[in-house]
Amino acid sequence: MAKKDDFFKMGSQETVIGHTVKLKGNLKSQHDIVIDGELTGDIDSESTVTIGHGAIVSAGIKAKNVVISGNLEGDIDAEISVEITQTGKVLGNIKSASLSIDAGAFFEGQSSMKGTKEPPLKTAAEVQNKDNDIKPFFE
Amino acid sequence: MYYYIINPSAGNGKINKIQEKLKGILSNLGIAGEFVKSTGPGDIPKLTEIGIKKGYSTIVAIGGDSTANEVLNYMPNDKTAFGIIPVGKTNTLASSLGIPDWMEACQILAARKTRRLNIGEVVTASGNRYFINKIAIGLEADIRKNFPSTPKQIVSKVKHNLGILKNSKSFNPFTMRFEIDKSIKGDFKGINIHITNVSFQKSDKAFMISLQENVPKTEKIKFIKTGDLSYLANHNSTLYGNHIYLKSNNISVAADDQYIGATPAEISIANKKIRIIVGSIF
Repeated sequence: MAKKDDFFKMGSQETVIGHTVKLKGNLKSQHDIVIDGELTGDIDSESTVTIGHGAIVSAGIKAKNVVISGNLEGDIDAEISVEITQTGKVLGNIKSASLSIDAGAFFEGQSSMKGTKEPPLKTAAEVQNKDNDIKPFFE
Repeated sequence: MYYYIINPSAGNGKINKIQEKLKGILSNLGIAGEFVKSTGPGDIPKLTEIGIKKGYSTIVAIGGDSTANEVLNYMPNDKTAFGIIPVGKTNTLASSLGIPDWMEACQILAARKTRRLNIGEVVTASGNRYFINKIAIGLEADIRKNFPSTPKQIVSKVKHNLGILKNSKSFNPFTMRFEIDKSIKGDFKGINIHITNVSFQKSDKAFMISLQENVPKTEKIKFIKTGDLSYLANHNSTLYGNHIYLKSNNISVAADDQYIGATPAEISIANKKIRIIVGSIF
């Protein structure tokens, strides 16, 4: 019978960097990326990037969701959410639609929220011009 | 037309016991052809080349993993189909292609469901080899080198598995410096690296690279019970790439479960594709 590691039964295509692995280079994937080891480079994922407890990462991260439980030095650009857990440490700027920082976590940098910009206020002249465009219903 | 290459020593001579029955089944299925036997080392490549020169549409290896591997390595392109009738001591390659035993292999050959597969190529100091399934580096390759076959009797099997465990206990973790797609450079400390051919799946990369730091106790117990080496391979890291260069020296390398040499090794997709007859589950 076929064995459990047979090649036609491939897993979830998740990229995982274990504790004993040190990498230098850019990681790009359509799937999740989990880092428990060390990485220097950039990370680009169409899914979730997780920096595990004890991981040391020096990278810019672009992803849908980012969860940080280890050490990250670099900017994060997340489409949906960024979560820095109790053990997480981030030195860099964060751009995301949602950001949560647990008690005990460390974050030094600037954060900006995606997709929450209010429309700019109109000036009096603009309002006046718009009012002038309105034609009376009965003339 | 089918061309069958028999390795008479495969599976402790199992083929000699089943040969007449096998020929009868193949004949009943309408796929009897020419049968040739290897008589010693170096024969299988010659016999494969003769079969191809004669213009047979299908070359079938009758033997275990090493026989199948040898034939595979001399298949020139995807014009001729490659099949396996597993009668060896280890038949992992056949099993991974959905061919469970020799009886079912006959039906699979007759059904002739073929897949045109990308095969991998590994280059070491010992030369280059093609592989369908995977490359193992480290402990597993060391086991393939020291324990090339599995005994059939239960008592010997348990002894054999305990011997493998002893080998794995004395195996020192190694440090491997590697490079993926010439852009990712890495270092890894552990006991096993597996590079699996995933080129024919819905994947943008040809190989899945799995790194294993150690063997958990629970998996060791499962291994003693089953003898399934995959229990000694509990991966901690998974990466993907098209070209892998393993730089560190002197770590054992196995291709499709056959020991082939030692690192440094370079792994990439071969320039040629192979048409392989596969089982229905593939």
